Amino acid sequence: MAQLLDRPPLRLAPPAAAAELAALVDVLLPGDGLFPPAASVGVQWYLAERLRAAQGEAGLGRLQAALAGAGGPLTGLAPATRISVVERLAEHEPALFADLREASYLGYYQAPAVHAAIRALGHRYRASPQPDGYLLPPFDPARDAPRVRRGHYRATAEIRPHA
Amino acid sequence: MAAPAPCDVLVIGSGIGGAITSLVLAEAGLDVVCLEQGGWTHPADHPHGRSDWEAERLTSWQPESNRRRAAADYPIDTAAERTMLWNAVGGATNIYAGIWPRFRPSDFRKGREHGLAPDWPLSYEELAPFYDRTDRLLGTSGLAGDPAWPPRPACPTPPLPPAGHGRQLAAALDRLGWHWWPLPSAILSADYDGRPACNGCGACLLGCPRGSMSKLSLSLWPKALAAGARLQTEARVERIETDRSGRATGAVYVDRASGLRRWQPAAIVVLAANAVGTPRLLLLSDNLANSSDQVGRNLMHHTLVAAELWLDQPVDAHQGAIGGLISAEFAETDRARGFVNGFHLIGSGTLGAGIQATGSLSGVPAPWGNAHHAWFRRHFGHGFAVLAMGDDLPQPANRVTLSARLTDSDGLAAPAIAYRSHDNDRRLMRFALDRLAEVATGAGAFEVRLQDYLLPDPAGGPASYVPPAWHLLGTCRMGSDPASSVTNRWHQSWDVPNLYIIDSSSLVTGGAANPASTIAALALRAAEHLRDHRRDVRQARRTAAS
Repeated sequence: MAQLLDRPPLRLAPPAAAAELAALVDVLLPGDGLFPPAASVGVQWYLAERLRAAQGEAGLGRLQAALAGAGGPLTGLAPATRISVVERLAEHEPALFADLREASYLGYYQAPAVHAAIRALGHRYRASPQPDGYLLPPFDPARDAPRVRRGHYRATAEIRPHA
Repeated sequence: MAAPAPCDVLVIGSGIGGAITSLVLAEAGLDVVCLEQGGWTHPADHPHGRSDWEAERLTSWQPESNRRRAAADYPIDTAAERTMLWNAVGGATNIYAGIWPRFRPSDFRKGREHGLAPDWPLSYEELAPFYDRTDRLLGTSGLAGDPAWPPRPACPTPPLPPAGHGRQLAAALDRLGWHWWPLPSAILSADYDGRPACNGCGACLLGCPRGSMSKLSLSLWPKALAAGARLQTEARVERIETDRSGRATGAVYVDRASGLRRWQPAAIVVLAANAVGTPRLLLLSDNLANSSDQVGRNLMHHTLVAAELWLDQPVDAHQGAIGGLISAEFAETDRARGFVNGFHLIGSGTLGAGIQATGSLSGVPAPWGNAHHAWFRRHFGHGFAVLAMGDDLPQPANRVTLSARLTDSDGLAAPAIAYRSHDNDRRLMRFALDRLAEVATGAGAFEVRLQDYLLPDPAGGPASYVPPAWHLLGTCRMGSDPASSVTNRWHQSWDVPNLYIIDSSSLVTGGAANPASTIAALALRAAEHLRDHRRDVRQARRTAAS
């Protein structure tokens, strides 16, 4: 599956479709001062590739048709109206919308600018789990073992039929 | 069809059972051939070094084979569960979490305890030395002295570093007065046997490219190959052949690289293709080894319910090994609860920001739109999961058969799976959900989402429990009576004396925790018995009970 694209590969979507995807992902994941808007980090291109991988060339057209059916296209609409269109899409096409949301979230949280925002919140967060991992302090029995040793088991010889 | 020389032992499947069997027998000097329908999953194949690793978890590294649909996978005809497996060298160890608790003595005596499941033909005490030795063979971490299990030697490496969520869960369990202990794990906390210690990357559910987790293609298979075992990858077995006397003579397989059918003759055949693949292959082989009509029956997965909870304190559960601690507070049967058997609680990490936002465990994604980032600030790094894994009763109707409508890419009938939870198990899960809610309260969670894996019936009937079937158990169980089991206590087929079944299908009951350590211990015990009795097995015309 594709990694997030930092440059728009034009083959993935014609300009009108690309603009519609950008508008959609910005409705799903707008910016807020710390976190960037989704389209600014290229989530629309990731979404286009996911659609292509899952549904082939027709996937993008189906999405545009679904948005039109919900009151779109989004481009040219006021921000509040765009939200209403996506709400209708979520209501009328729940499976499609769930796929779009999942792909958009997964694309968004692989963007370097989003990782930087997460780190700015105080979390240790890497672009990928390896090679560095997250080394933690080793197990210290004095600190990390149970202080009260609870628990029991039934040894084989002790097992009796339950009433 | 090419006709190679017969080997001493043909092993079908390269997961835990097949790898240990191949190693033991090759080290004894036997000519061992192992057929694996998948290929090698190399360290560089894992997505851990890529920024799209979380998307990979839901696509190419999706554990559910019907959704992943990799070239080596076969379709599974079922709507009753989400079957999870991995077809490659090392089997499920390519994607398991390395969680390594042992079964409990009572797990082997459910017949005596409550009678809703049979006793095993062996005891915990008989298996214990093999648990000890597989700990050293595969490399484990953990802390000896847990009062909730029989005494055991120290693991080869100390417990894994506790992550933030483990500390919070331990504190919550202490407040409740419940047992907890560091989780035994097949993940190294220190360098061992040429493999490095875990660096806490937290992506255990996509396997371990470092080999810190005992991924068998990096831990056991190099040793088995060095001992002389021959591993044929991309080799999908079509059927096991027998002679007029009923003894196995070898297997026909499809070389997936060329598409050609090939024949591998053998003096002894060991089937180790997991609790779905093994019965499927026996059924494909003209109902082989099934005079008892038990092949495919008594499929078990464990009961599973879970909680995803969020605390005010940061826990950063994307860091550290995914498993944290285990509680055996409710592991033994207590009839006063309204059901038999029990469950363990297991603390778990949460992967990364993308998976957390998609609500992978609870199934409830983060809000979209203007509320998203506020949700993220409040929840990311503050959540973790607790799983309640219980012992589901073996039921004959829960079974693997052959599909009448699906075939794999080589035209072989796909397995079909029927699975429905027993009323007892539903009561167990409801009780466990209540305990998970208590854990959340004890932890001071500001939010908790419980996951019961119930799927509503569109027609308005009762909801169905559709489990994520991580653990494939039963289906060719061992026993003392040929009329009610498929093999004897040494995993030797009652019907075909030179056919052994050494994998998760041999389990009589499922225990109440992850089964990998038990599958490994059983495999070592069976393989050594086969090694020591191979001359008898090569000549045997019938299978003895002991």
